[in-house]
Amino acid sequence: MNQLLYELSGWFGYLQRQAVLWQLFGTVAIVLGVQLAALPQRRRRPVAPVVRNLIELGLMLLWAVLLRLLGQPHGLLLFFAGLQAIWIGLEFLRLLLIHRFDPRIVGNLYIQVIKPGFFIGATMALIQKLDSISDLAGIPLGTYFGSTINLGQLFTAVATLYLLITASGLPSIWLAWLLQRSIGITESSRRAMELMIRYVLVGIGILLVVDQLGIKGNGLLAVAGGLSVGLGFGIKEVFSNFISGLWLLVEGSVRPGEVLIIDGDPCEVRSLGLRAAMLWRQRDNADLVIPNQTFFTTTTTTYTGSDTLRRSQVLVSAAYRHDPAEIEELLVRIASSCSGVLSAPPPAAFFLSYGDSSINYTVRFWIAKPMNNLSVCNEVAKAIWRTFQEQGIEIPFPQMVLHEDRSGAQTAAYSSQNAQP
Amino acid sequence: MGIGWGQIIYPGCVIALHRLGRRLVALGAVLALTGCGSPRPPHARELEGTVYIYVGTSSDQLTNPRVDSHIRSLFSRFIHGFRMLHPRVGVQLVFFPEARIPAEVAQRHRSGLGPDLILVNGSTAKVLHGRGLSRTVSLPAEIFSQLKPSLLRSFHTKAGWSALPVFSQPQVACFDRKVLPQAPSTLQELLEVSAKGAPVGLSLEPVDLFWSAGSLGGTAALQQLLKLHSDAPPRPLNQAEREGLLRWLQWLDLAGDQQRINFYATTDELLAGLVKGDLAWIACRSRHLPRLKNLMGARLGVAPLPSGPSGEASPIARLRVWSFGIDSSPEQRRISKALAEFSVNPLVQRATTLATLETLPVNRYVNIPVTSSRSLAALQVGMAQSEAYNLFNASLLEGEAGETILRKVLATMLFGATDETQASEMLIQRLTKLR
Repeated sequence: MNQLLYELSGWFGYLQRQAVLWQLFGTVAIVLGVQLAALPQRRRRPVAPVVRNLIELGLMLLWAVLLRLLGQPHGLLLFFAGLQAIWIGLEFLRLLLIHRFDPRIVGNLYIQVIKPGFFIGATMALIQKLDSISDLAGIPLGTYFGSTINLGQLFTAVATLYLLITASGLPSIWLAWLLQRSIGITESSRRAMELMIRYVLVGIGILLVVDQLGIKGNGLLAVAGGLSVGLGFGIKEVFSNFISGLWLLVEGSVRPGEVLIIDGDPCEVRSLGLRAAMLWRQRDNADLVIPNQTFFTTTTTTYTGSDTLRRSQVLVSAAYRHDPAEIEELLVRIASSCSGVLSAPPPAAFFLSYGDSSINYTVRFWIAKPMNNLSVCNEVAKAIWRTFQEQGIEIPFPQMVLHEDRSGAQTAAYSSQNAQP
Repeated sequence: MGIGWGQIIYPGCVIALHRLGRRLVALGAVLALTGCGSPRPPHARELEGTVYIYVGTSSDQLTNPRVDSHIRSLFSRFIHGFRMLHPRVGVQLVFFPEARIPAEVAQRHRSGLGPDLILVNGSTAKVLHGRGLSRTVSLPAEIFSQLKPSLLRSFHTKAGWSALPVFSQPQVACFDRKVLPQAPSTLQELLEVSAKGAPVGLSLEPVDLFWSAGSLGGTAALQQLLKLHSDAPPRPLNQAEREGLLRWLQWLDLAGDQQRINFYATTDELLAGLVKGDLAWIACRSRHLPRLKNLMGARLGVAPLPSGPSGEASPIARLRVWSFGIDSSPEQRRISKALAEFSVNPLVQRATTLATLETLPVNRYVNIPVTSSRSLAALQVGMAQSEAYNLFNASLLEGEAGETILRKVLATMLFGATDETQASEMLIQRLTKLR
């Protein structure tokens, strides 16, 4: 570690050179100057970041030309200008990608992979200018698990893991899509497969990193033994959730895309993470974060277990004077005419009970997307009302008629006669 | 009442300038107290700052961690010694393959980030200076007078010295004492010991095979064809030089036909063969000795390379020199010069030679203990052989055009695709075109 600090502090020795100072101060002055000039309170209209970057690039190149004319070294300045140009290029590429792909995916790709990659690449290129990457990589950091680990190995290990965790998404999606196309798995199985492929890739990455670091198995086993006690007491919930998540994926009961009933509301599973599942509740557009082990230990109602069909119903009443057979036939016809209702299995209407002032019916029908239940029921209910109006079918409601005798005593009687909603 | 100096020039501003004058006097006092008020001359000031040293290494040094750590530990001892005298000096070492040094220096010079000192072979130092990537320095007479004139001569320019020799690393013979009690002293003896069953390894790398040319009279032709002395004008080969070249190729072809003489593509293979006991004799470089000593112990024998009918062997020794960078600040130039001068100090030179047993000093006042160390005695003979042919600054780096041609033609002949006469003609034609 001392060697590393000595090496890093040694880079400041270049500041003894005037030629380096001219380039560095020039760059810093240009960047600071442009940023300060573009501050919102100084301008009526804010300057777009890309424009600021372009101005900086132009000024850097001008400064480099001036230094060249003066016969001074200017490679460092050109290097910074090159980085600036790449940054601007990446920004333009981002704008182009946003027009063609999902902005959320492009944003994530930039934040998680491209921008960190740019900064790491730029840092390494700068180090290579000041020092030698291979020399720096060889600096030993210490001996762990019987193996001497140097800076290069540590950097490779961290970069590999980071890259696997952040960038394994796209290959997993592609592989799962390929499997779906070749063996015809369902959409939710594809999503589960996607997650499992990702876990496998990260797992292989960890093994490779351990191998690359030369960490001996015995050392790892000893650590794992010690950790297991800690895991048992300390973070057992986290571990339990992780294992539950894996199990649920394999079992297939809670997969991304599944529809579950949570507290009476249909919710769609958006993602199944290492610790918790993220569900979307349509009613109020809320995201529910539910620990994986909840699904593992409690009963879960799903509409997407064996198939994605949901059987729904609308309750309705009709006056006693209407023929129940006609009403049932009418209800089936009305339901069949609604757009969200499936024709097969066909809708069915049933005489449910004799009510106080009406006969109660139900019309039951199948819908393809469980999350559309409310909208389809709404459509069917309104269609029933309209049709009953048109056909003069009464939907009675309870009425109370008061009869007064001569002595003034009152008796109450319920009547549905001529009652209209 | 005292009148301020400002009154004379601008009478209207007496009070203001009087105040200013007092402030300047106060500032002067502060600067004097902090040491800035009366600056000492630059040469008397304590050295302070960081210098960047590039070290050219062979490819086998960079790929072998053990060798790499050996070089680093040597440097750290040297730097430690220097920092005991100048504790405010920091030294940053950067290692590059020797062939890449000119390109690296040129590229970093464009940013003003070039090295202050470069430890390279004499030939590379000449390339650097030729391209304007190193500067000349003036050496004090007491330093100049201590160095061997033969080694220093080729770095003399009108403006000063283009490089400062530090130490030399000659080529010698390494052999397995268990198989060969004594190393062969002539090429004929080498063939004889191989015929008696001792396996001999020769390198296909021209720089490591060049030693055999001198013993057979091929050196003059090769030096002429490969432009090993860039200052000499090119001229066609004379008959004697052609015959010498042919004699060398014939011997190599003859050696290749021997059952127990094998040619190897890389030095690493040769060294590994000797360590394992598969080979009994090889030509090795002094920088390989610590590694071989470490792995072979008492089995390792070191001797001068064998002579031949036409004279002594002609090994290409590596003369390691300091080149001085062009991007340094004035202080870095002072430190670089001090560090370079420190490295040729008799005490440092002797300590380095004795500590490594792989380098020879350039300071003529350092006595090499040849009677107590057979290795050092062999190294001294190896260096003398190289000096006799003026080969210590010869450049035959891997990948250079001439080296590539020589390597290909030798390989073609040794694998039987051409005979030695054809190979000789091919060499003359191709290398002449290159000139």
